[in-house]
Amino acid sequence: MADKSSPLPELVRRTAAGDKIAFSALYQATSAKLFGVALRISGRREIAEEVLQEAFVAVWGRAKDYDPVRGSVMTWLVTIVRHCAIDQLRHQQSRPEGHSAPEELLSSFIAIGRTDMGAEMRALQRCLDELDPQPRQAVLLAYLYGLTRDEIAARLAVPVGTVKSSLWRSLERLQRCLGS
Amino acid sequence: MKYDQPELGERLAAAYALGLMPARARRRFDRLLVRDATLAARVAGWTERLAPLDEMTASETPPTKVWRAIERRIGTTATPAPARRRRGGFFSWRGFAMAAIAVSAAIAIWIAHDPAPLQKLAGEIAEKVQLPRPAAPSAHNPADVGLSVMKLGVSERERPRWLRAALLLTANGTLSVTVEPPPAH
Repeated sequence: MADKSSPLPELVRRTAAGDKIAFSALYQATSAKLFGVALRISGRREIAEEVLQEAFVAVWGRAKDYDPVRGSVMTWLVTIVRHCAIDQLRHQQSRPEGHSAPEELLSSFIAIGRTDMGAEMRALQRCLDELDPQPRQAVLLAYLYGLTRDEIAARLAVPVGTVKSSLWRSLERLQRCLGS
Repeated sequence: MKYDQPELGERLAAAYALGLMPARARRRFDRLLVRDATLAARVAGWTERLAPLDEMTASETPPTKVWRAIERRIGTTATPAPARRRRGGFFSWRGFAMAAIAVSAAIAIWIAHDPAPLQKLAGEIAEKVQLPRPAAPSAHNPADVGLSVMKLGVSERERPRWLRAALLLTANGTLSVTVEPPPAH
């Protein structure tokens, strides 16, 4: 019987085979984290609820596409949720209020001394810290809030071309810094 | 476009992971990922690198209506008759399926232990559930002996649901138990 403690890859494998019990267990095990991510990007509960719904309907249909080569189940699920949330965001005219005060929010994400930080976050935080403030902000605005390059350019008051090149350079530096 | 050029592959993977791809391009990329393991691994590299940012995001339990909506929607595509499926429907029939398997298996073990009354019992069960009397297994015909078909009436609030648990004990001692879900209404 599938339950919350079954390993996630097993639950995905069984979901792919049409096992609704496993699918339900997968939802129970991951939905709180994923709802948090959906809320972060959507900024509004009712939208985040729709996003979570869309994402899990997609997971049900695409579970057979999951392959461990695509990373852990959790990051695969997060990617699906983020993309659903971003699609929703593109359909809206206005941006969530939370997105308009990025500096404090962003710094709260990467604040040194947070006790809930794992080793991986500390490494990422250290590498983000090595970036110049503006490119760092660009990476975080894209990842945390799903902003487009145009929106990032407007937010940072720089040309879009600058955002494009600086995003890629920042990512390359992050990759090198994280040693992967 | 040549996705196998390392730098282009890496850039696209990063754009995908960061969420910078326009929706249509991303869907094409999604299809590509299914068959291109190298590209999928590049994406995994980026999602794993950035994943700590999601771990830092506070979890929040979604309201139960979200799961109910998901259940309704996957029910619609997964089964032909979802309209009457009520909340928790597939949980309950599975629960009873497990019970039916257990009952069937218990009967089977009992019979396997002492095969002499097998024939008599099979006949009795067949009579009770109004099935054709199973043919006697013989040396010439070591066919499966259909032992029983149990119909378990599962009373839900509105109307009963039925389960069929069929038990097959073959002449060579192999046991098989099958359980069918309630028929679609």
